[in-house]
Amino acid sequence: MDIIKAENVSLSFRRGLFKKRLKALEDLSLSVHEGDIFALLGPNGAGKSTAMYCFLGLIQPDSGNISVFGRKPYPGSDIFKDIAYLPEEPHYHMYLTVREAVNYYAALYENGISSKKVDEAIERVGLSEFRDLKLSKCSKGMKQKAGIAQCLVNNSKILFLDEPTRGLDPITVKEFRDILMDMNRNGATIVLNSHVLSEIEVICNRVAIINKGKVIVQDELRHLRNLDLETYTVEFGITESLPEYVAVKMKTAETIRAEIPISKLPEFMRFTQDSSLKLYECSLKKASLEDAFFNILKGEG
Amino acid sequence: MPSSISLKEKDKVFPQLAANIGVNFKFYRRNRLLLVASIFIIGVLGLSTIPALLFLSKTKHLELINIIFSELSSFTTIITAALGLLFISYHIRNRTTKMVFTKPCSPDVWLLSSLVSASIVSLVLFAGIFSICSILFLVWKIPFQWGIIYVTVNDFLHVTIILSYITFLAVLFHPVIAVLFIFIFHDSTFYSLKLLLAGGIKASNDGPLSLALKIAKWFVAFIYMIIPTSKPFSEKMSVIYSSLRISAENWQYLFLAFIYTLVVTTLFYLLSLYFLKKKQHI
Repeated sequence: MDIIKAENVSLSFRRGLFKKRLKALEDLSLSVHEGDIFALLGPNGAGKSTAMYCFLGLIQPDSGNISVFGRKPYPGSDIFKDIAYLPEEPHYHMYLTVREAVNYYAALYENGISSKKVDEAIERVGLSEFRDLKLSKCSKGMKQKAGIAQCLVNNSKILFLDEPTRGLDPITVKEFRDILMDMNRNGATIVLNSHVLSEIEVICNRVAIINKGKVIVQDELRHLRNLDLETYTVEFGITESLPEYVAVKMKTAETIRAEIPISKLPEFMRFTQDSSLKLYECSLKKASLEDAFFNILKGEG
Repeated sequence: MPSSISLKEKDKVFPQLAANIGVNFKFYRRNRLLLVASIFIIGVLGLSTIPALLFLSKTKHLELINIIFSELSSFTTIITAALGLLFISYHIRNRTTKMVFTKPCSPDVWLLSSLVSASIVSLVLFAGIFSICSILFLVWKIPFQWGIIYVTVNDFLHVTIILSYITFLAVLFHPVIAVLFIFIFHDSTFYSLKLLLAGGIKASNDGPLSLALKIAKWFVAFIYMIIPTSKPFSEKMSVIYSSLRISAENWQYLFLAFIYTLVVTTLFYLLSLYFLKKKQHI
């Protein structure tokens, strides 16, 4: 079931003295299924955060439809009782302490979240000893943790996370990942923006790659990784002439390290035999999300 | 059933309103700019009041109470307007509204909380002013004048209109522009301009400039007519302000001023809400 759906969404901003039109989203269509951990990927300025703002109703698109839980989102709408949002920039109430802020955000939910739950959330992100510190005095990472804590107080069905691991130390990243997986196991759908592809690779099951406001690819992560991207890494002795399918990665005085497409392996084997080349290594290099991401973007030009 | 829906809405709105008001008070308490502004205003008003307190004859105690009331009322007006302006500007400019509106808390509730919080502060300050004046009546052993209640309530209504107006301006503009706007764009400016243009028309003696001045006067008069005043029935009430004495028929003007305040505040609230919802909270 599609829990979030965007159909042909277009949006442009007017910027500068002469209000020049800048296209932020162009005919963007995507759907997030219930229970997904869905990542929005793309280079800077691709429109990932803008797409998220549209899902949250913070911006109304010029055209197209957006539905979350089957309803059009708008600021302060009832749908937010089942939604948690972690912003990219820490736009929190800086004059409040960590505890006051989390308590305040919790109080805005309809179901009256207890202060015990607020304390538990703060403890879970490791901010207990800083709970009485004003947010304005907190470090970037601490602010991010406070933001995560306010996402945990409500048993939300959807979590929107904009660059969630920004400014976090590796231990907290790992803990946060565990929290997300745990929430997902309990039925939460997670939509996140991130530049950390390795991070996405670990937790996400579906991905949409956005570039220049358009969705280029939207698929399951395992499908994306198999887009003819797997290669063999080979290392062999020095030779003058090489077939064109051999992509040289490193050349030393004695060896050449290169990559060859899977389909060309038998041909390459014949080539090494015919040329009496010594083969030192031949291993399968599984395609990573990073490879897929760059190849897809490269293909887009 | 409509009744159950409204009950559910009420159940949701009041805790949210209370949570927002609680946070708004923390904002007021912790805002250094507000603190500095308050100290400065108290200093300036104090300096202007002290000579009167020292040199005015003891037979003019009523006049002294009037001066004290007027100075403290001005302070409350400025502080309440500052609360409204700084609160809205801070939250819109720092985009903290993003955190509120991505919860099931509508802009309606948030904006209302801003007006209610500042009004509570204003109410408390006016209650304090009234108490001070009442104590002075007792200390100086002069007969209590009911007009003090009248002018206190009327000034509270005046502050409420100013607050709703500045809230509206703060939603639309940068705080500095909002302040400039409130100083320029109010009824008395246009009233003075209207008088000035009338004088100009008279002096031009149907000369070539006369038509242009007449058109300008119509335009200014039109704006004067549509722009809400912050002090309704001020001419009718001027005697009460100077003497602190009232008669029974004066109360009707206070009641009408109350109705007027309610209408104007609602109008500015709805306008502010419209523009707040139109804003991109990103």
